[in-house]
Amino acid sequence: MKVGDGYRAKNSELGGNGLVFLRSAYLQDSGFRLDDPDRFQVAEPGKFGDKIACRGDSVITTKGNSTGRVGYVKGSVEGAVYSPHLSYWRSMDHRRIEPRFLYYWSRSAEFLDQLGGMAFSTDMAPYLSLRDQLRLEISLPEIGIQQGIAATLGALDDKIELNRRMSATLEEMARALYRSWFVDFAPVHARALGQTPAHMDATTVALFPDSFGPDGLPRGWEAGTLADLIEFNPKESLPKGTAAPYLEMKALPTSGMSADAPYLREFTSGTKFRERDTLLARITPCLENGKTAVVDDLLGSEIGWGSTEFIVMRAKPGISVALPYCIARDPDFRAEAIQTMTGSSGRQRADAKRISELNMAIALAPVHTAFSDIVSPMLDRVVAAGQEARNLASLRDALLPRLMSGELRIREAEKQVEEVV
Amino acid sequence: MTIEKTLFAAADKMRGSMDPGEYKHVALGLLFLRYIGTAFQRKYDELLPEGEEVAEDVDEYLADGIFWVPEAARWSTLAANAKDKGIGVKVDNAMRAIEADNEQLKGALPKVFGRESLDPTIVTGLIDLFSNIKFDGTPKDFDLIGRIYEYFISEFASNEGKRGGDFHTPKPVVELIVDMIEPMKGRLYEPCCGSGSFMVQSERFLEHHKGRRADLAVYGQERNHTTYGLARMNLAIRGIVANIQWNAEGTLLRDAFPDEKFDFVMANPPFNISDWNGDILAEDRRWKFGTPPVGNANFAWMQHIYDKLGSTGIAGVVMANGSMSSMSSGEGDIRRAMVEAEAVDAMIALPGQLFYGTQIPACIWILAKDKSNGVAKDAKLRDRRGEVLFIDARKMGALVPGSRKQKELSRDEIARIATAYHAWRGEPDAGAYADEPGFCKAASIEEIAKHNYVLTPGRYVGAGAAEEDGEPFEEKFDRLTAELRAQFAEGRWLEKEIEARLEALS
Repeated sequence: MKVGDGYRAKNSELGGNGLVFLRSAYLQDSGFRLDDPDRFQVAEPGKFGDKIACRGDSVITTKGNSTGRVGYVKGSVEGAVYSPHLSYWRSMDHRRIEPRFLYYWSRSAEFLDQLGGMAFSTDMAPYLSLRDQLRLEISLPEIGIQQGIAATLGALDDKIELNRRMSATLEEMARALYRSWFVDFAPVHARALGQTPAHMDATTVALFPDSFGPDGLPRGWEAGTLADLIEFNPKESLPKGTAAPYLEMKALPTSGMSADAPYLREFTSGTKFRERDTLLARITPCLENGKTAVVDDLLGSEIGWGSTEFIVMRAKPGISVALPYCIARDPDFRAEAIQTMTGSSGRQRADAKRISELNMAIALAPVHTAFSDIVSPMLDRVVAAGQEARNLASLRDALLPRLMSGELRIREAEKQVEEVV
Repeated sequence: MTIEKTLFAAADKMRGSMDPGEYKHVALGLLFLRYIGTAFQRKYDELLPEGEEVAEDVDEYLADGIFWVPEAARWSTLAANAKDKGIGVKVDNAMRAIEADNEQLKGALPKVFGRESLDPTIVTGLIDLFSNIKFDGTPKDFDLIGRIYEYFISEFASNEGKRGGDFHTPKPVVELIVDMIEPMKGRLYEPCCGSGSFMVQSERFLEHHKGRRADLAVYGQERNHTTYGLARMNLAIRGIVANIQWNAEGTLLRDAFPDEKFDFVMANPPFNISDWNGDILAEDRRWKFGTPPVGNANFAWMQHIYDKLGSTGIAGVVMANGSMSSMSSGEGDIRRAMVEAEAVDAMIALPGQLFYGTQIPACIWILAKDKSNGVAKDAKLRDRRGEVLFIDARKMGALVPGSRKQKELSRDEIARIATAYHAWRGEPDAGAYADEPGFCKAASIEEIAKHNYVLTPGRYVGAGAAEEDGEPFEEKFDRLTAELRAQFAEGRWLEKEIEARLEALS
């Protein structure tokens, strides 16, 4: 096994379109997140020697408070250049060490015990040196068992990741449809030119007018405001002291719609919401960063509560529950919402009242019904994928220690081992 | 090593011990001393053959537009004492001595060098660094000084985030406004002048166009006292004579030039400010088009600026995008009144990411006092009543090399926008004007009324608006559908795999 560290990049080398510079910050608990990574000026892999991510590497952060966070290199980060705050463990002989087993071992009690003794041995910020890493002791089962464990846990992780990608695709489709129909009026433009609107059956096409009125809107549509479609901060009552699901600002993602799971907390004061409401962070820099979520973990008419810095957006009757979310993630809307911010710098807040007064073309009711018919199942699938991912993760977390300790065995692997011996 | 790199290296060394915003004032203050010291020395050496008395005669310097630098404040004196522990106090005293002898610098120079919290080795280091920069003591130095000033003001604006942006308008935006309104001769006014970049840029514009400096008189007001000092040094160092005023109340509440009218106004007022004393000013006579909302000063700034324009005056104002379309709190009515009264000449939508520390896109309002006439570069302009020119520049601009967040407009892009405007308003050397779908459109007031007086250029120039992210909807949806199918298939396979794996556990 080879243990190495990363490449000390100079600022002047970065800012181009070359290889990705894999910063330790990109390694989250849920895996690598490369939304908008730093890149090198030039793509000369030769320059970085063996500090380039190879498929199958296990990666560990070695400095700062996230020390000990681990990741596994697959397609998405293959070929990136490690930063100096990352170390990698590379199996040089896959017949002796299964690479993915190495990764799951780094999440086992055996490793965490040793890490505790090393990374925090000084008073300084946590730091795990290469020398310390070379002192790690690994118990390696037979290669067949390693492969079995890696394949079982790996299938669960792969599905979790797939769910995330699938949700991202579904969401992008919903948002693209929203823009096409309600902002760009693409179906109306197409009909006005005598063309057939894209991605639409004849019944849906017929719902759209084929010309624009004198006000520049599709004929028959009305100029309105967001408040015509969405209820902002709807009134809900929750008696003080009642334990109810609680979401803090931290739980909201900057992309995607799934928040972290809420936890029960006695209500004091804050915003109140129900299942499928959209939450929009209103304070700087959370709004600018895009913190937004759809509430997807409440039961029936249960009321949850959260940070006072949320704006709750609820679809009015007849409007798709996905619409407030599509709007909240739309770049034009976000730019306008940011414009409503007032207050001293650092504590700037968007104003729900002014947001509710933003202009919106109000389509005829059947258009909204058609939109809801197409987009609501997409949203439901995203919610289901999120819930499934949470289940898969708890299954993985329950299996991992038992598989690693040998308490739980994999029959297939046993059999293989027996055959070899 | 370029001068920018040298400065950056020096700044880097000090970064640990000092807040970058503070470092900027320390460094620029010393650079100012270095330049006026060199200019002084040059004149001094010229005069010395005529006798020491002549060389020490203040009037000789004033006559030449050179600042008089008293003995203790001369660079040679400071450089000789650079390693002295008390160098900071000496520099402060030098600043005071210069102010005492040069009325126009009164209160403009920083006196922050002798404080206990400032490590004297920083002052020593900077004096050594600046001693090594070769200065000539003539306007030839302005290029270099300009680069250093711009480096500090923009570099540290980007480090300080939003607040830094308060006093610095990015250069391409300044150039664009200057190129559009062409301040050649007359009176130029900046109601919130920041570090004075508009004024400096218009001087450059004048030089490019062979105008005469004396033809343009410059006025400005700034509320932030430190920035005000920066502006005065920035202008003084280039020998630009400007009348810049400061008061703590700010331009809207206490106008430093209440009885003046101007030919040109350029401004980048702070966006969307709510604490502008809108309640106190509710009855102000400047609100010709309607009382601006207490919660947002955008239309207060625009009406103040319009009020300052002389009979053929023209203004370029950088504004928050919301100003083009907001309907809340009566802003829609003010906008309508402005259009109907022919106060709006042109609207330009800018790309995002042009400003330091914020991604938000902005726009430029070109206001004109009388669209029926006007003069630009001695040519009589076309009667433009009944029309507004819309330019959509949102797709222009490219990332600044080495930055992932900051865009800039190229010289060609600036020229394209300015030329379209010049052609539209009928300047003879700009060629004929024609609408260009997706870029510019001269819209009639009736058309604007149809859009409910919303002035977002995208609505008028048409075309291309549907392809915001560069990928047309049809292609995007095809791609996403294919991806989703593959993901569903992969999901089914993985589900089977998981079931089999779990099955095998005993």
